[in-house]
Order: sequence, then structure tokens, then C-alpha cells
Amino acid sequence: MRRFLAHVASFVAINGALLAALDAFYMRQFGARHFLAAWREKADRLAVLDAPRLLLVGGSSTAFGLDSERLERATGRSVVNLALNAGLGLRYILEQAADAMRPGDLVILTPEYYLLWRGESFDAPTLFVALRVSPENLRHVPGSLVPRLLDQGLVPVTDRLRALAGHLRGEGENPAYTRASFNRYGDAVAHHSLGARLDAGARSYVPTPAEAEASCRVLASFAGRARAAGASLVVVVPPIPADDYDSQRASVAALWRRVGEATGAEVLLVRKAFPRDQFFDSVYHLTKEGRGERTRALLAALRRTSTGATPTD
Amino acid sequence: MLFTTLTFLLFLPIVFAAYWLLPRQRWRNGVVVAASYVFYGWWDARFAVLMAVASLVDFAAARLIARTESPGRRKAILAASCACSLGLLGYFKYAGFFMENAQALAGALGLHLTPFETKVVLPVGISFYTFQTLSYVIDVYRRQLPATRSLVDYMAYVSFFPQLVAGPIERAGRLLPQFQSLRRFDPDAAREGLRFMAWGFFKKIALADNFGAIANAGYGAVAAADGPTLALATLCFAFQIYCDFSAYSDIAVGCARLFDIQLMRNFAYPYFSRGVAEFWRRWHISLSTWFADYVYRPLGGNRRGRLLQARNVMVTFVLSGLWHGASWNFVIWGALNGLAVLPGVLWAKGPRAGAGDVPGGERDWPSLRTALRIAGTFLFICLTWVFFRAATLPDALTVLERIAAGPWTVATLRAAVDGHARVLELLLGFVLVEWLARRRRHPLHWPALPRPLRWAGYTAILWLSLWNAQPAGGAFIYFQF
Repeated sequence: MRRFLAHVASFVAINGALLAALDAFYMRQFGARHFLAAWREKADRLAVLDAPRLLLVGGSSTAFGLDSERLERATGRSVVNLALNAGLGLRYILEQAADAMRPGDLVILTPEYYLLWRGESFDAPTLFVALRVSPENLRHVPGSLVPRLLDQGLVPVTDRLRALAGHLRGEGENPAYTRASFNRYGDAVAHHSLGARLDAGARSYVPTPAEAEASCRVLASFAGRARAAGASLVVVVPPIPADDYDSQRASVAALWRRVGEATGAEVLLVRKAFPRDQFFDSVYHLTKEGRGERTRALLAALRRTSTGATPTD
Repeated sequence: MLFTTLTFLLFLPIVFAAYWLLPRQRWRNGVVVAASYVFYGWWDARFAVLMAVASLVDFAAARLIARTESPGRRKAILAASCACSLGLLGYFKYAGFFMENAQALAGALGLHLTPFETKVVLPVGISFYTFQTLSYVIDVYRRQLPATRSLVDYMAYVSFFPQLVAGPIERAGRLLPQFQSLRRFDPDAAREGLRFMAWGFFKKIALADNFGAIANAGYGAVAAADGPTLALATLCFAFQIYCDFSAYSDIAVGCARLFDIQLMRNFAYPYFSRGVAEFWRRWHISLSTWFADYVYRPLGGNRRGRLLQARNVMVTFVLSGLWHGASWNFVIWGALNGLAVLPGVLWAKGPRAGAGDVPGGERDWPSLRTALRIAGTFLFICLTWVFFRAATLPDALTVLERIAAGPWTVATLRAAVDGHARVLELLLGFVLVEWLARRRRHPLHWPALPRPLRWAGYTAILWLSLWNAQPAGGAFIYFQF
């Protein structure tokens, strides 16, 4: 038995060393510049700004979809755009936000349709990269998700191998999706010079009733935590192409009505849709023009709310 | 819990340590039961409760049968136990199918049945452990096996986690005595077990999931695909299901050896069979032999003339098809294989090649005649896989129609394989490796090599598996049965 265990341990150690070398290579080549590593700058900004702040929470549609500088000027509140990628999963995103909230903060939450389909689910490769580049965020992984995370535990290895394969093939980075793609507020802005490239296909946005209910339970819990932390919460509907919205108007309205009921929060921009040429490369990401239009609409909507963040411009 | 997860790789050493650190056999079986229920309950705790209930019912039934001498009473208890086991299986797996067909039949007869919708989740592995508990009770009834007094030993037999959800389907007479006897750690068996597991992981992660991606793309768009694309998808499915299922069996066998438990061989290079009857002696051996012992022979086997033998063969294969799934596709799949097997069974002359023989013959390379027989058998099996894989019967017929219609030109063939060169290379490489290693249980047996080279080989297999892994690796196919 001893000899067998010694052999197994040696074999595991050899492959563990190979794995460590692969990880070190990955972090040196990709990790420090990864899109998700931008969390460090967002966290740094959170740490130095005092409440009352304006916290933008959501997936990449929030990172791409609001002009924080304009919001800051208009509301007089310091703005931090915490958003990165919806693949992190609704629970994780909300845990990060809950950890950041302070009394007097206004949280603008944009749960993407993608997040509402998935309830407690997450995209394993995305979450693993996020945890690797910012290991301190492990505390934001809800305990109930840990078994599922373990079940996906080989993903980090296969991901690093795929990144290595891409590197060997000479694949470059996409300039719209790096750590340097963000401005000091945490907005993704590097794509502003790249132009619109969304394809013409129609999409469906509204989750099934069961999916929506699961997500609403998660959102309701977050809303309770915001109230307990002394923060205000506003839900803002994510951008949607005008032609898709026209064909799904009633179901979209019903969905956001349900979200409003679940969270007890005001839901803004329910009827706001955007022409396709204001989307960058997907229905989640607005161009500079689209972002400007959405920010203007949000400010107008905030003037009509009772959030205590009355814009001044 | 899936084998191909970090969770399992953490679970296994903990169970291994707990098992071998305990000095007493009874406690080791307790570890097996506890670990197996954690393993199974990882999917859904309700599944574990269901398995426990099913196990207890059959344990009690066997004890009652063993204590009863009255033939009528013994038969009644057996019937009740079988009804309970098959009833559970029937409810979870077949209720929707039977209701759908009853409604269709009623409609055809001008009757109206109240619509009955089932939203029942099929518990993973129910078909497998139900057949194990059934065989135990039947063997006790037949007096081929004494009823065990130990509930822990029995539950270890039923729930043993390596083979719980996708086999091999073990007979109580073979597995239960192993749990009742003294086990000693055998380092050679454990090493062989790890080699089995490594080969299984490679087949699942590097091969099955990649073949599956091409199969899924083809069968996911049947209406739009041409003949060569669907033929490639079918070929890839043939290897997906073989690699996937045999991988599970290899991992199960290997994992069991870490605990000094021997599980039966489930696959013996079936695609090198020289006839369909031989294929069924090499494919999912544990299920084929189960049906032979508990359906074919009790129906009379070959003891009542050729006509009844043909009936018995067809009933066995149709039920085997139905075991795989509640749909007419599976029934047709089973029936086609039954029809193909009949000539060999009814008019067989001379010894029949089986799992113990060298697949494809003793020669290093097959003769032309053997190669044609292997190819012909494989082609037939692939055509039956169309029914197995297609979502519906109309889809299956469309696939066959399109494959026949082609068009079979260099251009369409090139278009079909475009972008899949790497996967096709893996497929050809795999076939070659299997052929060269067919005299052994798996290709990772290298006794002549020094340890550093063997370890380099195992490391290469491990990293090749990870290099070729699909972004979202799939569950094992046979979990759905």
C-alpha cells in the first residue's frame, strides 16, 4: 500500500507541477490583462470613495451601457461601474454588490435577460477566470454554488490549454475585451472607435415562468439586503433592439412587472428600445451613441423617481 | 456525481482512505454504502431515497422467499417483488409513453381518453439498479443464491457507486460474495484499476465528447443536412456511444479494483465483430446476458423448436430496445437487431465467436473476407444507430432516406468533413489503437516498458485528454437509460 501511494503521490506531484507551470504561463500571458481582471480597478475605486455613491450592477450590458462620468456630473454622486460579465451568474454578481453597498448608496441594477434565464446558474469558464485573477472574490461565491463549482473543476485546466493553443496559433487579443478596455469609472469604452456590427437575427428575451420565478427569488433577496444595508435600489431594464421589442412588448412588460413586484423597487426604461445600429457586437453591448442615449433616458427617468438621486442636469 | 469532475476526483481518495483505514469488513461495506448514497444523492437526494426504498423492498422479499417453503407463496412473493421493481421502473420511465400510445389508440378507435400529462423526472440509473435487485430476488427464488442476512452487504451490492448509474449490471452471485468476503489491498490490481480509469477518461473526454459534437450538429438539423453530413454524424455517433459507454464501464471497473472488487467486463471490442450475433456478445455484455438469463431462457430459449426460438429472440431484443428508452425508435432498433441476429442463432454451425475470443480473428491483420464481414457488420450496426440517435421516427427515416440519396460526390464529402479533420484523425487513430491492443483489456498495459516511459505515456494520455476536451463536456449517454 505504501509503495502504491508513493507512486500515486509522485505521479500526481509531477502532473501538479505541469499544471502549476501551465497556470503560471497563463497568468503571465493572459491573466493580468484579462477583461475580468478589471475588477481590481473597480474594487480600488470602491475602496476610496465614500458613500453616498452610485453603484452600477449587472453584466456586460451595464459595463458597456452607461456613461458613469455623465451620471456622476448629473447626480453629484461618485459612480462605480461594478459590472463585468453576465457569465459570472446572478448570485455572484449580487453577492459582490451586496458586499460593496453602504448606507446612502444608490444601486442601479440591470439584470440582463441572460441572467434571468439562468437563475442560479453561471458560466463555469468565466467564473473560474474571475476567481483566478481576483482570488479574493472567492468569498462572493455563495455556499450553495460550491458543489456546482467543484463539478466544473476541470474547466480551468481545459481553458488554460485552449488559451495556450490560441497563443501558439498566434491569436491576438480583442481590444474591446481586455483589462485596459475600461475607463476609471469602470465603464467599458475601448470599443467606441470600432463601430456597430450586430447581426440581423431576431432573438427571444423572456425566460420561462419557472426561470423567471427562480431569478425573482434571488433578486428579492438582494433587494432585502440592500434595504438592510441602508442603500436604495432601482432596477433598470437592459437594452433591447427595437424590432425585437416590438414583437415581444407584452411579455417583456410582464416580466419587468414581476421583477418590480419581487424586489419592491422601481423599474425604469421598460419601454426603452434601441435601433440596431446602436449595438456593438451583441444585444448586450451598446455603441458610444447607444450608451449616450441610454444614459440620457436613465437620467430623465431618475428625475421622476423617489430615489433621492435627482439629477441636476 | 459524474466521474469526469473535480468533485469525483476529491471524493474518490476520501472514500479510498476511509475504506482501507477501517479494519473490519462490515465497516468497509458501510463506507461503500454511505459513499454510494452520497455519490447518487449528489444529483438529487430524492433519487437516493427511491433507491433505498427499492433496495429494502427486494431485500425483505428475498428474506421472505428464503424462509418460505411453499412454492405458491414463494412465487407470490417473487411476483410482488417484481411488480414493485418493474412498477417503479414503469412509472418513472414508461408512464408517459404508454399513456401517449393509449391515447393514440383510443383516438384511432374513436374513443376519447382524458389527456394525461406526466412531468416525472427519470432517476439516473434506475434501469441499472432495478435489474440488479430483480436478478437478486429471482436468483434467491431459483435457489441459485442464498438470501443474505446482512442489509449492509446487500445495499453495498445494489448501490456500489462505480457501477451504480451505468453498469456493468452485476449479478448478485458474482458481486455479493465479494462484499461478504475478506478484501485485501492488491497494489497490482489497484494499478491496473488506475490504468483502466485513465483509458476510460481519455475515451470519454478526448473522444466521445468530440464525436458527440459532430453527431449532435448533424442530428440537430436533420431537415437541412445532406446525406454525407448525416452519414458522418451517424459514424461519429457510433463511436460516441461506444467510447462514452465503454469509458464509463472502464472507469467503473478500474475504480472497483481500487477497493479489491472485480466487476465484469462489459465491452470486448464490439466493432470488430464479424456478425451481428457476435456484436451482441461483445456489446453491453452485462445487459445482453441479463436478458438471456431472465427473459430468453425462461421463455424457452432454444428448447422448443425454431419458431418459438425465433419468437424468444425477438421478444428479448424488443424488450432490450424498450429498456433503452420509452419510444418506438428504441423498439424498432431492438427489433432490427433481433432480425439480424436470427439467422446466426437459428442456423448457427460450429463454435460462435464471443467475448473471450480475439476480436476480428487471430491474425495480425484481417483477411479480405474478415475485413468485409467486420465492415458489413459495422455498417448494419450504424444503420440501426440511426433509430437510436434520431429524436423521432420520422427523423430516423429522413436520415436513412438522405443517406441513401446522397448526393455522394467529392465536393459533398469534402463539405461534410470540412472542419472536422482533427476529430476524424482521432477516430482513425482510436480504431487503429484498439485493433493493435485487442488481445488485451485496454491499450495502456505496457509491462515491457520501464517505469519512466510508462509514466510519460500515462501523463501524455492525461494531457491529451485535457487538450482535446470539449468546452462543455457532456454527461454519459447511458445516464438517460
